[in-house]
Amino acid sequence: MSATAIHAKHRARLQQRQNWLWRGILILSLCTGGWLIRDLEWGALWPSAGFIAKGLGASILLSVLSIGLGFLVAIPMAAARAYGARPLKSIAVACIESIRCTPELMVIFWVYFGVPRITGNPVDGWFAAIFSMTLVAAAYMAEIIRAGLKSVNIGQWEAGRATGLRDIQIFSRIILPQALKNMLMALLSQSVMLFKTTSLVYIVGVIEFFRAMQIVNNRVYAPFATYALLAIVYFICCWLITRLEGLIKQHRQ
Amino acid sequence: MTLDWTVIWQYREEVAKGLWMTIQISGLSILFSTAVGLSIGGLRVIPNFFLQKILGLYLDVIRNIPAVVKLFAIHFVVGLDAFAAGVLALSLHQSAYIADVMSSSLNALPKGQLEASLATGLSHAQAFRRVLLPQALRIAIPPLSTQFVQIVKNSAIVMLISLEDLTFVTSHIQLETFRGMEASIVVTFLYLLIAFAIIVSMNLIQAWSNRRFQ
Repeated sequence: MSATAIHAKHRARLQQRQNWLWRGILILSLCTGGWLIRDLEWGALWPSAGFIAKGLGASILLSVLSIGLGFLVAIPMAAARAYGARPLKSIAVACIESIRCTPELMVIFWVYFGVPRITGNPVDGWFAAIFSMTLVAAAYMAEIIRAGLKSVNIGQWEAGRATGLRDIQIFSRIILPQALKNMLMALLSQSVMLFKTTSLVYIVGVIEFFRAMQIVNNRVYAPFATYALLAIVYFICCWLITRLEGLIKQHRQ
Repeated sequence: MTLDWTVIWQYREEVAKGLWMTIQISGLSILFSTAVGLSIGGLRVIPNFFLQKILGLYLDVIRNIPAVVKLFAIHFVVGLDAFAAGVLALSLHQSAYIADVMSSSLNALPKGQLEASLATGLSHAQAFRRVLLPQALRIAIPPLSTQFVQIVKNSAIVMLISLEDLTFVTSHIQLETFRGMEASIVVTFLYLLIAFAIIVSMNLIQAWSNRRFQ
């Protein structure tokens, strides 16, 4: 066995040992953390568990809805920006960039203040929340999808045309599926971002997770437990999506 | 729908004050988060297993908790006043992303750079400061400007702890006059202006560094 091979074997074993040690430390510190926060006012929060769970459900529902709707809106926007002629492309760029450069709270305000002025009726909080989160999701996803579309080899278009497919067929059957595969990771990261952004919609009166916790805290006054639970739940939800990303990456290799 | 701009003109002083508040908050947060982010990013390239695991965990925790939760926790639980809490929360939040920018710029440098500078007799610290850091910072300028714009955008959340920034003024105008639509348009325009100023100045810095070092 050569010297380099022995060296590589030794390093691999060292790495494995370090990994196990790290896992041990992690579990130990988790237990210590749990022991440290055992005395927080959990009993005060417990009677409101159902209300809090409903709030978390609202957060998740809002994210899923706006990611789904935003994705549908994002595809034509991305296509317009990637392949569109001059005026169409400029409109897509203006829409995408003006949403991306504006604070998410301002996007919520546009919808909440703007829609009643156009329709003449006050808008429902849930409608404003879904509408604005969809706009935010669509603008960011349009950029990701555009990058995905650009990553597909131009030869795919030519090959599609040579087989007699129409442009719309090539786009939906050949280009988009390949692009989706390339941008899956970025879309997952974006959904983490959006889930965190949903903590802002309480300003239009939607009771999602963050607001639910505020309400409970205002009633029973247990600030340490409230914020510890907020941080832990948000962390776990986002971490699970990140973990999914890691699993997909592993699966592909 | 008719838009009435005279209302906004009546509130011009409040809008100007809000603009100043937004600029103050985001300016300070940009300074602090860049300092913290660059330091952590520098530590990220040291090849030490446990240091990397601990830093990775820290960044994961910071990134996966919404900025609003940090803001409220710092303001209501720790008890800092609104301005300090705003700056601290925004800096803490964005420094995690800036650390990523920094470490990936350092990793983007060719490996030979470190080896060559060590071969010329520089110590590790000197090689980092004189050779790697200047090059990495130049690579980092475009992504950093995105991060700075992100800070300006995130600064809108300080209105939730009733700091009177641009977004706060918008909701205030809506509350008093129902002219929130006009206010939103004006304020959005102001935010775009700030973002534009950041991007232009970062481009100027990039042009200067290209002239200076090439």
